[in-house]
Amino acid sequence: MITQIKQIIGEHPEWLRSPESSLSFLKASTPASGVGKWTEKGKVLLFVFEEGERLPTLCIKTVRVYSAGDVIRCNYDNLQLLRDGVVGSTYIQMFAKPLYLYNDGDLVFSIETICPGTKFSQDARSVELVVEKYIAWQSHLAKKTKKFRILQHGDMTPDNVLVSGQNVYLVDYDYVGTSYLPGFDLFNFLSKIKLSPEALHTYYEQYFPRYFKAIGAQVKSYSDLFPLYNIEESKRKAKK
Amino acid sequence: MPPPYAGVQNVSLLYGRTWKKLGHEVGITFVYKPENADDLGANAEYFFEYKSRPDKFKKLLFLVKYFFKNPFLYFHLLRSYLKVCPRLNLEVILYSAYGVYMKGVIATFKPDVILAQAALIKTFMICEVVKNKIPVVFNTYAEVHDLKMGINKNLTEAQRAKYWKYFLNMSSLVIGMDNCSVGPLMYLPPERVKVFYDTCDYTFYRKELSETKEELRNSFALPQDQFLVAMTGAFHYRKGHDQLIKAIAILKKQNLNVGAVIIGGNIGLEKWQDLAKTEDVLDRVYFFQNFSENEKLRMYRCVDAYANLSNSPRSCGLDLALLEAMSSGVPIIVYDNGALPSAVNGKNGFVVPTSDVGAVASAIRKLYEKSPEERTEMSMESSKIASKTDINLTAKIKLDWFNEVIASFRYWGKASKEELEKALAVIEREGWDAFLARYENEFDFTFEENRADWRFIIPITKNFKVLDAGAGLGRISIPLARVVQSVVALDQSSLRIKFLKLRAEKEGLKNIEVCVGDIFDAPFEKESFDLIVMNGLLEWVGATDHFRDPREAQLESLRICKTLLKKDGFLYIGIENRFALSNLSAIDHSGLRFTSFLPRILTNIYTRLRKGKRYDTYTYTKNGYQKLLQESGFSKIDFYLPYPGYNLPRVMIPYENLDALAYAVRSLMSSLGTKRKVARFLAQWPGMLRLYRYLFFSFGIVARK
Repeated sequence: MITQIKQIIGEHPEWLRSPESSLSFLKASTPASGVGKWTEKGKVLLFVFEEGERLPTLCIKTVRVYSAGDVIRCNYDNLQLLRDGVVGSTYIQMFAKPLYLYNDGDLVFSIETICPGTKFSQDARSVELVVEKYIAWQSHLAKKTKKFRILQHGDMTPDNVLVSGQNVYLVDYDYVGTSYLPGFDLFNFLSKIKLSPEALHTYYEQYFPRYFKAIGAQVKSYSDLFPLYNIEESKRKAKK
Repeated sequence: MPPPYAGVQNVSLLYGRTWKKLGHEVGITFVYKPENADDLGANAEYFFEYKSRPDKFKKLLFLVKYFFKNPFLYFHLLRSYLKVCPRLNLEVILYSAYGVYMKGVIATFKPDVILAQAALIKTFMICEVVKNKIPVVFNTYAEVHDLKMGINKNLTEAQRAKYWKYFLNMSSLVIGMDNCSVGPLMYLPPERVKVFYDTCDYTFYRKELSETKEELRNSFALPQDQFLVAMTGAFHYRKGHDQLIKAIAILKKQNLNVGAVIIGGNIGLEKWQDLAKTEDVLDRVYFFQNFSENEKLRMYRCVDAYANLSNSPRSCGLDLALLEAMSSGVPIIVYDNGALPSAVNGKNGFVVPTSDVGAVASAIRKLYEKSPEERTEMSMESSKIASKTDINLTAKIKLDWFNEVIASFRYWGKASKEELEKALAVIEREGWDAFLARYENEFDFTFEENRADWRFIIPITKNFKVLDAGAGLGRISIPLARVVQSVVALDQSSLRIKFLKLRAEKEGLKNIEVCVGDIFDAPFEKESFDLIVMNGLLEWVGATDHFRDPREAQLESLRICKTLLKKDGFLYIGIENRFALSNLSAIDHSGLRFTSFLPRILTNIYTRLRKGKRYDTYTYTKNGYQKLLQESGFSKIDFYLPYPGYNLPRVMIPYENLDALAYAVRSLMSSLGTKRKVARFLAQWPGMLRLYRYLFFSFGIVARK
């Protein structure tokens, strides 16, 4: 696979910051475990580093066996969908840019740009920053066509949120568009931050009304939606 | 063992001779060299502790010599023995030196398996010397269950249980001579004990003789008209010669013309002569000493019956002498002691109550009164029974056992051999679901496929032929087999290979070939692989006796890999860093702490002191591995840092790229736990990153031919 990746990158010098520099590959994979067929679970990522660059330039996503390749194709299409919703706006920088989808019947992988942030640290200021950017994005979508009005990232766990300065990035696009339940992302994000029940409740009080207002939705009591969120969540778990 | 003047030694020689004939190398150790070299007709390689029968002075010299040869090992052996047997005696002091001596013998002869005659202190020392290296099979006699024997006399019941449990568990298999297997069975599970009988050279003892019975009797100066009962064995009370002498005395009083032929060794004759005199049968009891095989055969052909009247817990098996006499063709009389009754099928003689001399006399009388035709029929029956114990049959049975033992011996996995055996039985009987339910997280095994994830940094194609050296339970072979043409899984343990094979079948993977063996005698053609995997193997290859220097063994294994690789083929090595920070709180491969950090010389002394063996599980720094690979002929070498470790390479960080390492620390590694927080903090400075990299847990190394 490395051979094909190198070849494709070689054909696209515009993807690199300095096309002459030598490349190294950092591999990271998610566990291949859970229920069902283990081999087909999980993804493998390869980060492409250009020599001398602090951050990787590209991210290659693949799977362990070809038969599990749908995940990659789906991820790639989802990313395209996300970007379609924000094309022409500044929100487009919240997501990676899909560059290439390779599929030769044996191997399947996608190439994306990197989101240049680091893991979101779970302090109040960062939470405020992430939620603020998120609500702004969702509010932008709400003004769009029906297709995008309440599009959810679908897996906005703290792990999938990267931060760099004032920029917020959302990564991992496997579940984009699988839910059109407003507030699900927010619930997913806040409930998975390690917090005391009281602190969590404060966050909910603070952000849910703000969120619904921003997308122009009339919700009397947001907590009525929690059972629905939980159902959605358990569907995810079953799929994972 | 002692020189070949008795049954056990003769049996050993007989086995040795037969195994040699079957094409195996056989080495036999004796205490001292017998006077008559013909006694060693097995054509084996012989080792003698002493040139001749040792006296106290010679034993002292032996002790001093081998003590100074390797005092570390000496003390280790002494201490190991005293741990399980709290009695310090002269034997233990001397035999610890014997252990040092045997280490030399074993290094010279390089056996695949060691057969120990009886579980004695010397056996213990051998086991300790070859621990985890060579399997030892015990032939046990009465020493385990006879409370009057050896060490049993000096131990309490609880001490005895502890001693035998530990000692017998040092063996890979115990062969308990028929009645004597009761001892081992008290301490070992039945599958570890094979109940077996003695053997004899049946063909030899069936040989036609040119001399008639009369001529034979004349040659031994025996009377022609007397009814003669023979008995063979050392002149010891336990052999029961006295029982026969007393029975002859009873028959003499009944005016029957019956006599006895007693064949013994070179000591103890006088007491039997005195007894015969007291019983007034010196005129009809004939003593012979140190008979050759041929003389025994000729004697058995001219006597009328043979007796084994052992009335002790020892010497009550189907012993060599009894089987030889039976092969030759004589009716027999035995006591109902131990395994002796199994020599009689009702048609070839009599079983009489143990120690009942009167009953012995009546049995002889019954035989005496039978017609010559009836006795000939009985003789043929004896011979038929003995034919089943022919050495050519028994030698093959034992060889099969040895092969099993050798195949399942080397076991370095985390699961114990017994556990894995049980688990395999569950898979075979009840299937994988039952196995998973019962053994979840128990083995170094899961269905996760992460262990082979390093493969993404190597340009593997679907046409690759892969050798997984040290394949274990298949956590690398299986995921690789899904994406390459073929995988050969090589492992030293047939159990692990069996598991791997079952797993491959379950997964429907038909492109995995399995091979039990080690890298040094791997039977593969040159340039036949595109990729060779040594995950968690290179650190162990030094633990072989093939090489004096562990590093030399590692170099050789790498050279072998290079020969087996096709041009431009890849070698992947997953291995620990010698200076891994986490080693500070972990046990090194040597089984001790800190051994990887110390200079090799010090470590060597330390492991010799603590473990009684050299330090042979070398790990290196990055530069050390680089040098090792270069010396073995690899030129293109790339290092990666696998996180959390080479056995679960979730993240593979290119070694040379510090930015990638910093990125991994910040974005990919867990941010929980103090250790990780410190690492994240330190990752801000390149100097600290370098240090962190130097102390990283392990390496993934990709070398190209």
